[in-house]
Amino acid sequence: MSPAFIIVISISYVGILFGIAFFTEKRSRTGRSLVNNPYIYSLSLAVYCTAWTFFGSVGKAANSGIDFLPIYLGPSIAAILWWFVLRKMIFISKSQRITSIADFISSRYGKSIFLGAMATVIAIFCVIPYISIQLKAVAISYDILIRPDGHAWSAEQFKALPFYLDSSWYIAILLAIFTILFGTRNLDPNERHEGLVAAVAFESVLKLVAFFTIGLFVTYGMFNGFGDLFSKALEHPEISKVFSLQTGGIDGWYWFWLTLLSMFAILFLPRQFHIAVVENTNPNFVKKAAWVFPLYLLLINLFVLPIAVGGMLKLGPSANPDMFVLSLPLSEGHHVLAFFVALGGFSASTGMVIVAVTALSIMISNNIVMPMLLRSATIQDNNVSNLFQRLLGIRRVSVVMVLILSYGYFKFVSSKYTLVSIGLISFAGVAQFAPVVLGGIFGNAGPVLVQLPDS
Amino acid sequence: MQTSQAPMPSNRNAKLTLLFFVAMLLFNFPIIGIFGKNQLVFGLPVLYLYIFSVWFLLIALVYLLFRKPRK
Repeated sequence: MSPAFIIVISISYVGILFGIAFFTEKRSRTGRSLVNNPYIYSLSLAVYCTAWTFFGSVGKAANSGIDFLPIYLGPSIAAILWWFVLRKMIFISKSQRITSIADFISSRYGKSIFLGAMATVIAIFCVIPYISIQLKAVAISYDILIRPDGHAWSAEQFKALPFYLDSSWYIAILLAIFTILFGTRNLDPNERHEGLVAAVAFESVLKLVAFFTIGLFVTYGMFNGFGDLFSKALEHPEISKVFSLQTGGIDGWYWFWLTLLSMFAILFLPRQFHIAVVENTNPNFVKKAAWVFPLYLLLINLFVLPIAVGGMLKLGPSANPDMFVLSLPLSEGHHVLAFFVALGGFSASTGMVIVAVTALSIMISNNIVMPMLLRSATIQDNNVSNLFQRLLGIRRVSVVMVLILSYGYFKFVSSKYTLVSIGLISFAGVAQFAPVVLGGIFGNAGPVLVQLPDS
Repeated sequence: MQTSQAPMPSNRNAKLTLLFFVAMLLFNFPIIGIFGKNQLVFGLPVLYLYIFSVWFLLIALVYLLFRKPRK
């Protein structure tokens, strides 16, 4: 496929996203909000499923079998308790105008500026590896599509490339522009971006449809259904070992901690907090989200194992399992299908990057830069609209900075490891928030105890 | 707030908490270890069949617990 064609379609796809965002914001100005809907809310929560899910799960399944699943089982189990936990977080945040997880932590412990700044710094360090794997996934999938032999570059080749020839550098710039356009267009006192939420919900639908399509293609197009696929795999002991638990050295504790980490990640990752709490319009939406969101996770994982097994059967051990979803249709000559799947992966990555970087830029401006500016004398004689402009400027600069750092991380660290192993760094990082946040919700450390209404 | 009042909310809260612990039990060792065999049942690996069906069952139960009561 020609690079020009891929780039034109990808840009027009982003154009469609902007269209959705503009239309949504126009509707909400006339009081007929599209986002004020429990199903849109549940779909937007699926920003949880990133390139990690889209490409990485298959790779993980091919390498070590079932241990790709705790990352999705954890949130599904945690969702049962959202009625107590998430709803209370929403009530607290709405009553105290909380705009980010750092803000939440600082305001539950006496509006400590230091604590807010600390939480922001931790969040930045945790999220950058996670953003870098999105860059990696988009760069590799673009690479596979434009190369006739369907093989991605190796880590050494990527590292040796000067940045101005590296597609992931341009992807990082492009994503910075998208984020600035989606997330820092105007200032809302509650930090809500309805257009962004609608675009993310649309992307969640697209990535599910794309993954389902490739799953059905592999299971029923390349094989005769699940039975055929799995019984063929049983003939190869080195493949069928992914059916059992012994493969990746999975033991009970590893499994348990993975589940627990992802239970925290689903609410405490900055982008998840932003979507689940800050962008929430009605706490009662949690009722629907508690089963719609786990159902989404179940559906998007249904075909992970069939694709992994199909890839191992058809492509052999030399192929990169992280890219099976693209190399399988390409190996059969289905370029259009491969491109559609890549678009699904692109939407999984862009959704994550846009929301995560927007959430980080809110934290950086509200919890680090603003407290500093308000103390300094220069700002006190300026008027308010000038301050707003300055705030937006700070956000835009922090968006660009975060993406440049992520690109650097990709270049020097992520290119050498699999998608999932890098993503886990972020999960382990944000899990550090768990005791503080849970203490802030259920302990009596905070200045205001919020009593939930019984409904 | 919406007007969908369940008859006994505290009863539902207890059920949700119980369901959470049952889910933790069913999705962890040693129970999933029982199914970690290289076998196919109905053409599917037995471990996956187990996890996905329990997963679906849990989602259905949460749905039932939050369903609006009939008027």
